[in-house]
Amino acid sequence: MGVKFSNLAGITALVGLVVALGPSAVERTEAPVPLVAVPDAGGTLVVDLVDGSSEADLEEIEALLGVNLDWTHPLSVDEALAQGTVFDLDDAVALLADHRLVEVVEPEMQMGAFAWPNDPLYDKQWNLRAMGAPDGWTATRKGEGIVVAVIDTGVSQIEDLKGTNVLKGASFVPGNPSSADDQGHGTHVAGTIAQTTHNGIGVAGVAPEATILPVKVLSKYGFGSSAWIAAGIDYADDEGADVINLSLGGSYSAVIHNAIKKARKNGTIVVAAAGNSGKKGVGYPGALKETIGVSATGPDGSLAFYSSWGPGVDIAAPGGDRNVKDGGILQNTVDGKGGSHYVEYQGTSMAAPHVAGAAAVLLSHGVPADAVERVLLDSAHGDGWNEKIGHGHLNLAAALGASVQKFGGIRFVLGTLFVLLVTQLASNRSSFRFGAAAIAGVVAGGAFVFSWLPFVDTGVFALLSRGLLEWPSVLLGPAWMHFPLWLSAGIPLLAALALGGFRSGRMVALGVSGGVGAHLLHGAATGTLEPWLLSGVLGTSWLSVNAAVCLLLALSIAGSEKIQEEGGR
Amino acid sequence: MTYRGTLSRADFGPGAWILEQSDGGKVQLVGDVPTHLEGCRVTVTGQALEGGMGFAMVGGEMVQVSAIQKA
Repeated sequence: MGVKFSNLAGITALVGLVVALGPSAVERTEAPVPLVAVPDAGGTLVVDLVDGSSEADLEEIEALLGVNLDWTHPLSVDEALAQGTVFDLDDAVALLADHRLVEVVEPEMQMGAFAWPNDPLYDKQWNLRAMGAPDGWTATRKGEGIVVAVIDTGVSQIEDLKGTNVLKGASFVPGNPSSADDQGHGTHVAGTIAQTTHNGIGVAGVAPEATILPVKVLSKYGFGSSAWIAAGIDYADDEGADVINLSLGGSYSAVIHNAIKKARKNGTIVVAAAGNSGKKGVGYPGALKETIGVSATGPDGSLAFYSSWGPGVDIAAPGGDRNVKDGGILQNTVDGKGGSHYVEYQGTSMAAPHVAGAAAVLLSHGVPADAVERVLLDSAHGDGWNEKIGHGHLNLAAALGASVQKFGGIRFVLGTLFVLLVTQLASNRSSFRFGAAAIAGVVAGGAFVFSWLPFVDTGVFALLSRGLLEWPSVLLGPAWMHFPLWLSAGIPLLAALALGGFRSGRMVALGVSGGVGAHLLHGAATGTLEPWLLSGVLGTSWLSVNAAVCLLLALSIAGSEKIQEEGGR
Repeated sequence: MTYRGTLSRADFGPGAWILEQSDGGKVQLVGDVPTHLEGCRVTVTGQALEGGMGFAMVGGEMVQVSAIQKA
């Protein structure tokens, strides 16, 4: 093997530095400001367990709360500091306050200017935390390049939408040629989807990098005819909308149904509100099988008092409850006097855009359009389908995790082909070729068949069902998967150095090189891998260059094996 | 058509005018509604809007208001 690793000391020092700083180093770039509590019912709970507490102790607390907790940071395990999202912070704090395993428990405190996002009213957006948006925002694409059509009362690019990509759009309301919002509903909905986020003002949105296509089909009285709405859906489809949000409803309309079917046929995801009757019976178009029907939940996570429910509900998302203090969905919208204001609304109209935004984030990660609905529903938090919350509560973080796993099969094939190609070029023996190719497949995509088997996704099966680069996510927490030196040719290089001296070792090293290279390449192409500190083009370049190094390394190992094979004749 | 009931404001989105009828039915009102009549028994003259939709989604038919009088 001719691989040199002369800068090992420098890289080790860098590893030490990044480990010392940890994932939070990515976010903490501004001056500290006083602590501000998160004053809502649901949110992140921080639990400081008795020092030295074990995984079993953590599981005992999880069982008590009925939610999953993670160690806050790999360096926090000794201190037994854990956190997780709960639906009712007050209840959770009360439940754990006197527990024998708990030293301190409190809601997570936001470090104002430190945190992402820095929108000052974000503290009041319990809805975004309840649906796992903050975890979904960690080093990921946030709807970039995805067009979401808001088929509603129009959208006005008010103060807190100024930094959002908003297209010109169109109006289908007779006598009103402007797609601007003369009512307030549509702009509020658009804000939940893609409000300008981390701009230091106002509030945040689920998919702040998404592009909004305003389609006005409802008059200032909030009414739209079936013809206007169908024409608006057709227009959005023609304009290339990736996602259509329908925060509207009524009785069945064949013409609207037909427009939705056409949009679906073109791969557009259609999200619709379930209705606000407070009774069983989902309105149209939410009840259609071609739409993702969304019921609404309040801050406590239960079905909102007004939400329609029944067959047709696919998923639940925060819709707010204005009977609870700060319990509505807060957004910036037009105030009817030529300006804008921040106002809480409630309704399944407010729930649907959370799902539309989540769909946009998934699409921006390269999840195929026809897989997005399945990923959203499969990853929703719930126990199977029920008529109140469908497949469960929307959770963007879980959906992103599930989407990465969904790529396991693709990466397995990529890794296998990668090594078959390399060993073909080197004319290696068949046994070596196929052995290394199989290892590459598992390293790239994991033994993904395990995720199809009825095992629980824990322990060794959780590792085996995932690719090697996903292991830190299981062992240390999701953020560690984005550690730059892990997402590099480092491990293949070490494997080659350690194992390159004998035949079976070379087979493993080649498999690791091919598998890691294939995963890095796939991650660069789909945006599913984004190294810390290296956002955008920088991150893609890092992944691509390291994938190229893996390819060269694989060629080198295959060539070395060929020389040994010929020497052994 | 004439509709009778109690005028109320449904708190969905920015709000919508609803006529709550004595049989429990709801009619969504489309058009200008005098706000001072909120909570009053009223008679609404208007035309049913077939096949339309809106953001209030409370169920019941939607009616284009031509006149409202206190009952």
